[in-house]
Amino acid sequence: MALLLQLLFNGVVVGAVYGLLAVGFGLIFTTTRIFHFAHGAVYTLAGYVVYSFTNTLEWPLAVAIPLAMGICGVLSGGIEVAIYRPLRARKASPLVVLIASLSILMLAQNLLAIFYGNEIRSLAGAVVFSGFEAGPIWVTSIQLVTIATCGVMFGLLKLFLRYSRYGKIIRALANNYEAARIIGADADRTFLVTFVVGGILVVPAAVLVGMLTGLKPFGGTSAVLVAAIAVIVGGMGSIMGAAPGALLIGISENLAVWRISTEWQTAVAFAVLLLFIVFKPTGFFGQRVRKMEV
Amino acid sequence: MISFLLHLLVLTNIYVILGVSYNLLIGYAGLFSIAHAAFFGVGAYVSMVVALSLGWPYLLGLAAAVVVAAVVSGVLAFPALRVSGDYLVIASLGFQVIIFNVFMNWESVTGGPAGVPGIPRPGVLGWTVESPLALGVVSSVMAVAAYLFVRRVVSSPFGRVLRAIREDEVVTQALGKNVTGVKVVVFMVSGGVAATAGSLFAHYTTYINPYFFTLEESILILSVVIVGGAGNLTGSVVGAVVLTLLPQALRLVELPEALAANLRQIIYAALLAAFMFFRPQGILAERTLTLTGKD
Repeated sequence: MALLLQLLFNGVVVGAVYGLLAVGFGLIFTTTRIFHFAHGAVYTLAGYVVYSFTNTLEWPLAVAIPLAMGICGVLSGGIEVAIYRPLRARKASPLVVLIASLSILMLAQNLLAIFYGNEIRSLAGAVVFSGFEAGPIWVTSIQLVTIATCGVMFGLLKLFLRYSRYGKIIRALANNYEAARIIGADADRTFLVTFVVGGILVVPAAVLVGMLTGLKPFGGTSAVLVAAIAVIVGGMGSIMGAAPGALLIGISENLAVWRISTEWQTAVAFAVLLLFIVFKPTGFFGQRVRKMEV
Repeated sequence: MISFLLHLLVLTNIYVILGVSYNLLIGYAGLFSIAHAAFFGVGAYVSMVVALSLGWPYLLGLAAAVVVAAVVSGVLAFPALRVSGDYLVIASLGFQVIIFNVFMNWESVTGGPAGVPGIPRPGVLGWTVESPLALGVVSSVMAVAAYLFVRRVVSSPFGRVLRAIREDEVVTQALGKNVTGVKVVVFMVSGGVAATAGSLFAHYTTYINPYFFTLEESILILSVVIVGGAGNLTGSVVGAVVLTLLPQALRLVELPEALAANLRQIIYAALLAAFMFFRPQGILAERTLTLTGKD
């Protein structure tokens, strides 16, 4: 029983980090309808940028994180301006855009592998995280920091979407693209804002993963896949729905350890996805998938 | 030098088989799945198990590889019946990752991450294909057979239904075609043909491990079809030749192996991105329609 609770708690921590990634990916997808694989590239870069600042330049995290947020926001927006916008102007099909995005992901990860090497690098350095017993389970400080950070980021995003000017336009575009355009929503500018916000959101996720498990040059692929799964499980079309989707994946991955073994963790996330696609393609909160369009 | 050229020939032939079978799925049927390396791998592993654990002759291994890969590929058709487009991409990537995990973790059968050495060279009716020249000839025969087979499929009435599904599923259904059945069959055929490449690969290199059949490999096969031209079989042959020969240019400079692997991936990625921008229809476009400007 204690083991089950412990795994459940670990699952929530992992799920919270996945949630940060998934919400950024889902925000971009629901607004722009772009399957932004390159999100994984920005995420991977975020971790290494922070690593360079804190380990090579020995700056404190409080300086490194805001700087990395700036860099990743600009980079993510840059991908929209340099790649997606020209492709949109050429009326490229969604699959062309998707392949372009996938190639950016590959390009970035291999460049990072050349610069930083293939070995795992930890952001935590020599720090050992203290822990304490909370009833039957063992809780470490970094796990609490993770949950708190994710909670705060979700709150901020929710406020941004609800009250800010661009948040409202993003919701309008996500809800009904054509209608939002008719009442004067500037799609290009809103898309840019969406990508910048998505880019900023990956930084806390990258830092937390860098501390919990370490940075890998090819970690972005599985991260973006998990994010995409969370969005589908949560339901396409619901921006915040990705968060419970991510939580479900984090928990099922960890519960898999209880009955199966750790090596199968990744496979479990994808098995959850395939089950959802076959039996409930709309996810938790999604609108009905329209199969026919006239 | 000659044996190196023959090695390139075998590699190209393997990618020709993978390219034409994958083109059938994404180019002709418009089913955008990214998991072809999984079927390539299933073919290689089944063929290996039949040869090493059961000790059966090569042709039986090849046949077993085709059957098993076709069935596994048919399983992937189930999510494809429910969803299409971006969803199918994610579902197929998930499928790819699960199969890779099976190769990695089902150690009693697959040998795990360390892989399996000592796979025998292909033998046909008591004759073992050993010399580089013979391997080149046998692989060429297999590639030509795969090409002609897929050509036959796409120019048949079945092939016309495939293209009809790609253009408009609802209309095809309204015309009384069995869309569901056709999708399952095309997945099975595509996976089955890919398995012959896997079998050839396993018995050619005599050693396999899971890292030959990763997501990156699936993307490489995707590049073969996209660069060559989706919906054009000759294009896939051209794509296979270009993508096998291009990274050989890296051999002219002395590079450490790890760096060379990364650079190879960078070349593929840059090429793929460039094609998406400047020529999304590939080197040889499909004669009637192109990928641009439509869903």
